[in-house]
Amino acid sequence: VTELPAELQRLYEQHYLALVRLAAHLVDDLESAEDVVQDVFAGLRTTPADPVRYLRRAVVNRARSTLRRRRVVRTFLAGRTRLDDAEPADEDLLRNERRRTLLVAVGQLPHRQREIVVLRYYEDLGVSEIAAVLGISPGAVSSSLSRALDALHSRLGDDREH
Amino acid sequence: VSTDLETELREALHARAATITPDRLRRPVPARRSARRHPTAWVAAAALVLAAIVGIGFAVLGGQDSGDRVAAGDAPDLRSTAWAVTAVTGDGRRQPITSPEVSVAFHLDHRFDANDGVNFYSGRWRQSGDTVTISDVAGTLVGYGGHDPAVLAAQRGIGALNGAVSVSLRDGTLRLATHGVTVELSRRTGFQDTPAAEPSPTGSRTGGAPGSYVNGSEIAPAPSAS
Repeated sequence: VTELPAELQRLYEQHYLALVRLAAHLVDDLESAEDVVQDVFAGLRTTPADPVRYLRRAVVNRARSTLRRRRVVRTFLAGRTRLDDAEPADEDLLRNERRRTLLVAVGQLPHRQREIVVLRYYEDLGVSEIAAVLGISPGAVSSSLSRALDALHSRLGDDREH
Repeated sequence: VSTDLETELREALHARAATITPDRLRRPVPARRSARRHPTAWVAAAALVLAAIVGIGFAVLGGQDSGDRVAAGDAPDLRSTAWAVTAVTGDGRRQPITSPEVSVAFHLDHRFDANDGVNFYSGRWRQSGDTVTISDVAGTLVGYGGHDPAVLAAQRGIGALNGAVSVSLRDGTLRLATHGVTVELSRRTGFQDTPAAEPSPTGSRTGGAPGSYVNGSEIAPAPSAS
């Protein structure tokens, strides 16, 4: 990090924690999330024109690659700190079973739907902004978001019945 | 139902993000102020020093709030502070708020109070770095049938303060951001924090029993809720 040019160092300082949090929603464990963000910054050579959008997009893309790779090396990650297992800052929040179920359900969505849900409800981005970050059409965002919400409804409904 | 699910999604994702604090990272989050790498940084540093000297001078002369623990930076310490809401931004629109009633207070014993000008709210608060988690919020239920954009914005801003809230302090303006809403606040000087007169309904969870103050400091930090 210390080798980064001043401009990139400033970006790193400003956005590192926020990007790790975003990545954590996409890859589930904190260490992988940090790896994702570190790799993104390691790949930067110049300051992007729209740094925040660029960094979000890069984090989402790299998180997706991480998930693909994880399928192959899943057992290797067994010892890593899953967010759900870590000691939370406010235990009563995460001990809420419905909330936990919801987060698990989000993690089980297809990659694209999961990314859209996180960008919409964590980053609070609008449909057009999400489309720009992911490089897809606003219509595709809307339809994926709708399918994701349907799936989450269904999942929560299923869980209530058991 | 979708609205409920969307709200739950926001709260769940923000709550999980709030558990990711700088101390949990393998690689520490770098200091906010990086080393000087450009000659103009010296000029900026000199200006900052001058501003600090002037600021200290005003503080000494003004002297009203010498116990102020809110320092300039991205993660202010909110304990025993009260703030007046000055603006609410949502959906890309910033609405100034001029009513002095619209305010929030973060008590030392982790009580949280807020007033949107129509209703009064109280709950619990806890800070971890640049995230404040507000919980157990309950409020009065006075209806408002008007269309004053400032009142509506105040209601939206105060109403959003539930769950994980990002907090930053820049140039004396506190910003609380959550659920797509950013609330701007200015510090209320002369705030006299007092412990709750009676245990709150959730008082057993605070660890800071009423009266457990020594020279403005809590005897013991509030334990994690279990």
